[in-house]
Amino acid sequence: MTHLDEGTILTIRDHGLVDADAHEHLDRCASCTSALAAAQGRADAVARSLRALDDGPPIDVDAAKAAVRRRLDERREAPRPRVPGVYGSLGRAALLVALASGAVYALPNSPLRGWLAGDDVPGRSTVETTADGEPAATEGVELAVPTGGLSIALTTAAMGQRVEVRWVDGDRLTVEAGADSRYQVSDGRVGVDLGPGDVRIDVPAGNEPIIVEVNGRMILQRVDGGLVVQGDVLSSDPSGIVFTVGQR
Amino acid sequence: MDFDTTFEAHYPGLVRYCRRLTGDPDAAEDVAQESFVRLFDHGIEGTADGLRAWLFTTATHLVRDRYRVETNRRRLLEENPVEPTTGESPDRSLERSEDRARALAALDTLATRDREILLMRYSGFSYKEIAESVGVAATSIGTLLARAEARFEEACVSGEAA
Ligand SMILES: [Zn+2]
Repeated sequence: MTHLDEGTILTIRDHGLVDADAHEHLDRCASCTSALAAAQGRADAVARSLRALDDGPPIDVDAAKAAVRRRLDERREAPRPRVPGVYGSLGRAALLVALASGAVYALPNSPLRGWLAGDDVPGRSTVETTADGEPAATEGVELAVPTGGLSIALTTAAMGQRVEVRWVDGDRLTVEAGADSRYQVSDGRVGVDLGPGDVRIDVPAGNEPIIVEVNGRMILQRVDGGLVVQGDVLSSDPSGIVFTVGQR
Repeated sequence: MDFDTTFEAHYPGLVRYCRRLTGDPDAAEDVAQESFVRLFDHGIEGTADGLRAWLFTTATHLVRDRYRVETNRRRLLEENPVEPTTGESPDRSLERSEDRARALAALDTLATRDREILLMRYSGFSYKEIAESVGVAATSIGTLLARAEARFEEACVSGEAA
């Protein structure tokens, strides 16, 4: 007899969905029943241990509310990067999400989509699929960066993954990566938790300093008109460099 | 979306989650507030559960991105012993301080994703919500959570023995 694996036992404990077979097995297996009881005991112990971390000053909701209102006002008064339009030169199956700086959680394939009541985040995001509505092979962010420095930090890159950096005219930084990637955009900084797939970064040729990091290691830096290349280079030409992600 | 209702419904729980995640009450408030700023600034709408999941996920990402949790925890443990509550016996206060240090150290032994899975589960999220938040298949949450719980409890117990 094959017993239930631990993941299934926990799923049952936590009232998740499992096959009807699993419940049937549980009804007639003493060993799995006792494993379930043990898992329940462990949940109680974990909950108790975690409660020790809840100590702290009392939570002042009104003060926090005022602080959030203040931050919102500051943000609304600050000059915003202009809202970028949809970028035109992506491949056929590509999908592009154009976001103003900061609007990061509205990517079409991101879990957030499922949480939202509507189909789109109102306000400053623009979402467009290809004409034939094919599922996205890549996603990306694009932001207008008229001047100043930029840092692009790629994390959870896999060995051998390809990262292409291109210099482009204009003031648009675009980062495209595999569909499972997650993006975080803040002032002058794009963080990407990479899913599988090639990465393409288009950097405005006029901005400086530029720093590109992969898994916490700098692969490329452009400062004072000079280029410092530290990553593993697959190929390069005057318009850009292709890196491969090396061993950590 | 009503600012006050949303705020009052989710802020205290989010701060508690962030305290567990960062081990730092100040950082926790900062992250929780920033999450709300983004929620309102982006005009995010949804059901109460949807907004809660959005807020917790945003906070999780902010912590991952901004705070080097592991080094912070160690510093905090050294700098900020638990303040005794008024009227509490010194013994009880010491015990609470030790429980807290032990739990923080035990969380430190987990990989970032495992820690997030554990803390989201113990904030009441479903496997599906957790899976969407940390970006793994819902079917693997049970296994990942089992491992995280086992490691966490083992570390708590061995901390107790030490
Ligand atoms: Zn069995």
